[in-house]
Amino acid sequence: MKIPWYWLLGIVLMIATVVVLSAAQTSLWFLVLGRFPPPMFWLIVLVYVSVTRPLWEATMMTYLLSLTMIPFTASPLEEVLVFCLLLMVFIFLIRERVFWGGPTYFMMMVGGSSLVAPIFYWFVSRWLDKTPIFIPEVFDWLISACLTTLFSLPLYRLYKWFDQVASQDAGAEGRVGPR
Amino acid sequence: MNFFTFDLRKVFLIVALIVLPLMAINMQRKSEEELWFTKPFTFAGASMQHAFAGFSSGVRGTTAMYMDLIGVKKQNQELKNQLAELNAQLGAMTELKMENERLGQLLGFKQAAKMNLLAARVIARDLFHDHNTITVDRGLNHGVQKNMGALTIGGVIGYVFRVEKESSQILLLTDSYAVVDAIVQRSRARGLVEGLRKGNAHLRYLKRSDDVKVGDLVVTSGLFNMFPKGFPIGSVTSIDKSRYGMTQEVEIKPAIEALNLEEVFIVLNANHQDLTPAGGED
Repeated sequence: MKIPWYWLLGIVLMIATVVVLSAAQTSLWFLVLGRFPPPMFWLIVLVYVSVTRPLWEATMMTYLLSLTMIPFTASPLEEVLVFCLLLMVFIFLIRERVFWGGPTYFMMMVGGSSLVAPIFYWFVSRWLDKTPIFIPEVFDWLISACLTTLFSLPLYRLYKWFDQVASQDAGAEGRVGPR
Repeated sequence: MNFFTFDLRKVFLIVALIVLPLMAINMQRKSEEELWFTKPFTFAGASMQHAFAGFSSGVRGTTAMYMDLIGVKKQNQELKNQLAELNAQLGAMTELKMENERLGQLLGFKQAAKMNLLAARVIARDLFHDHNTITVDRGLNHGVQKNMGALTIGGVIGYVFRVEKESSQILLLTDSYAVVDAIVQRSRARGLVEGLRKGNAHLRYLKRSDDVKVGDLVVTSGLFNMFPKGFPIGSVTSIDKSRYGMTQEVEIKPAIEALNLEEVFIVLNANHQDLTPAGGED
């Protein structure tokens, strides 16, 4: 069996960016801008894999993404995993019904996901936690959603380039969306 | 040619050459006053000179002003650069001064305390907004272990919940997962402080009959030697006694706004230090 090295390289590059961006979100952003709400970089990656990958690959990437996020949060693995999978399925279902591809579509999906993600997390926390979290402050929530949407464009370009490097371009966006 | 025959034109010329300068010298000697017929010329000449002087002065002034402007612009730029540099230095100095004061206070606190404390710098916070954790630059290699307390001069901030070799994560009191054993300082009523939401916590499992008032100080119980006994956690902001039930809900405001901290202490060993004021009963 031939090992798909380029495909694996694409996954490694994407996970590496999650590590770098999560570290930047939790450390660099915090040290430079204090308590100003940061963008949710991890969400951009989650939306990208949900929008551009087939379901099995998106699920696998969501597992990897959850594992990558765990060192940066107090949230337990099962909670992060359930939250990310639910969000991925939600994005996937929207993609199955409404899809036209391209950066605008991607930004819209990121924007929408940024707004619903805290609600999903709240539900998951109420379901799994003994002491559930509260809905975050509205100002933080909106600022974070706006910043996440803004940062999604350059990251979209970066991930498209990763896809090209991994020679997945033809198999990625080309094979998704309603037939 | 006859000796007495003259060429009159030459004679006039010679006489004029000799006499006119003499006349002029003579006239100058005779009077200091300007002659009437020279006045218009003098006036015109002087006026022209004034005009040219004024013009040249204007030109010189304009040129000088332009040259000055170039100089001023350059100088202004240099001064601006100097000012920016000085401002940056001032900012850095102020920052250093404040850091020095902070570290001085922390050092004084550390020296005064009987506990074994480890100073740590805050380097990150949680990936999710919903959780209140901070990451510090001290870990296993510095002797940090899971469940060690974290505090600063003013009060408790949380405890270590994850340790890496060079860093560790601290669960702040305000996180919904955080639980710290506590007592009300005045009445010695015992309960558990749990994170509530950003900036707040609540004291749970207090008996309905326990004596608690708004403004009471809630302190650590010293259980498991995690914190020194009697160290401030926060103060009571509201009390909710439901009509039925065995307990009362007490909301507290932590003594420290932990998300704004830059340096914290990790309690390596509280040495069972008791900070309870004299007269307190347990």
